[in-house]
Amino acid sequence: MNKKIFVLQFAICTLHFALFAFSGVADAADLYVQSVKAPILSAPSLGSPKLAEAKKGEPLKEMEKQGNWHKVSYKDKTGWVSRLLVGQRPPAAKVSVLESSGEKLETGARKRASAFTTAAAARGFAEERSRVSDKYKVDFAKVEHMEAVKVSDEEALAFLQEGVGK
Amino acid sequence: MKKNRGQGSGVRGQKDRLTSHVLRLTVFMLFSIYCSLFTAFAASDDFRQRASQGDESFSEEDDVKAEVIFGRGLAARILGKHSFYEDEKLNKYVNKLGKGLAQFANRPEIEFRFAVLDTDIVNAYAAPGGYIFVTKGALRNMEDEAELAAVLAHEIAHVSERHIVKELNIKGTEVSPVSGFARVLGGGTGAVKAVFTQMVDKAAEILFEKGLKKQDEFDSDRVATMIISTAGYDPSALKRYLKKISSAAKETKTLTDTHPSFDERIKNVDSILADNQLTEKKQARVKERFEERSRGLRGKE
Repeated sequence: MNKKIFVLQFAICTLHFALFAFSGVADAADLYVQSVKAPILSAPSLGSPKLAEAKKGEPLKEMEKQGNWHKVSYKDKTGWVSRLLVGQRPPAAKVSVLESSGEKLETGARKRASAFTTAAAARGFAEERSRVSDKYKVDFAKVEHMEAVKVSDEEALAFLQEGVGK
Repeated sequence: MKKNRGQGSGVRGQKDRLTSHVLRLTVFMLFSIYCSLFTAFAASDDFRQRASQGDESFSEEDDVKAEVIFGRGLAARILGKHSFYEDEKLNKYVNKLGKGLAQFANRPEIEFRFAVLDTDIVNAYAAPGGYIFVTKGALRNMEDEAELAAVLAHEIAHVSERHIVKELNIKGTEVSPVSGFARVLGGGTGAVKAVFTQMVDKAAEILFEKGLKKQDEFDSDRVATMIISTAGYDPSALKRYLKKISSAAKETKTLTDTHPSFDERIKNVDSILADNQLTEKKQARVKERFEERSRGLRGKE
């Protein structure tokens, strides 16, 4: 009975160890492409011949750093990528403060004031949108108008590529 | 015999106990190795994370949220000063082009937004969090889409390089001078809210009066050249645009008050082009589409 328990414990430990070792290997990439695509160039200069093109999210293994350039290995190629196109973590999803929380400081204060008018006014929350700053006129309604323009990344990229003929 | 059997079972019992101890010890050792390895890996991961916080901490979600909320406040001040230029076709065009270019920068977590301002001042502005503006005056000085792309890319670069964010140390974490920024956004006290307003006013002062650091402007010109050339536009477009507006000195006074001199910027762009072997490189200028989309603007001159 004891033997069975020990064998089971041994198997669990071995499995955990193997999983851990594997996660270490999987995490070996140093850099991830953040831009839609990143040319891997033969030398640290934008005009150099392109050896390959990595796509957004693809991992690159860093070998050397030189100013604004990283020497990387990508698939079977070794070349240079601009630091302006890569980051140390996989590309993050778009962050929105509009839908996720409704936590808009200057406009949020006004909305809370409508729910708790007296208390909020006493705490100085009942400011109008145009009077949040003493120095500048502030217009959040126009910001919302600007945010209402919807263009997807795919649509924008296709439009750009159509223009440059790619 | 009974005695011997008894002795035999006693030896077997000892063997079983020994095996049991050995197995126990093996499991214990393996568990210890596992734990120490786990700690070592976890520690190195934590160290890597902390080490990278110097220049990467802004990609943390709270910091990005703080940046966007701060940027909204600054965009509200830009739009308090200038009206939109009402031209649906042109506005959509600038948004499509800008959002296309932004994908060649390293801030995929930012939702970039663009607008044209109804003023003859020749300028463009960027607020943290991806709020970008170009004036009607600047657009009238452009000849093709590559030049517009260069100006938008210069502003995208201010966002991607976090120039204002770094200047004012905007973070969502407790270590920020605007301490507990993220918490404030959920309902801070009047005093904390006042600090927020003062900080955004300070950023507006930078945009409208003082200007960013000279080096930040040079860096944005460098990033802009990288963005447009990677996207497929004429790498010299920014230089062409700067040369053109430098001759319209009176109109561009605001720009020279907040930016390095045109001569310095052109010299900087020249060296960026030369360093990258782009001086002679011919890429798309896209004149027809630009003229067609901005026809309304020219008609109202």
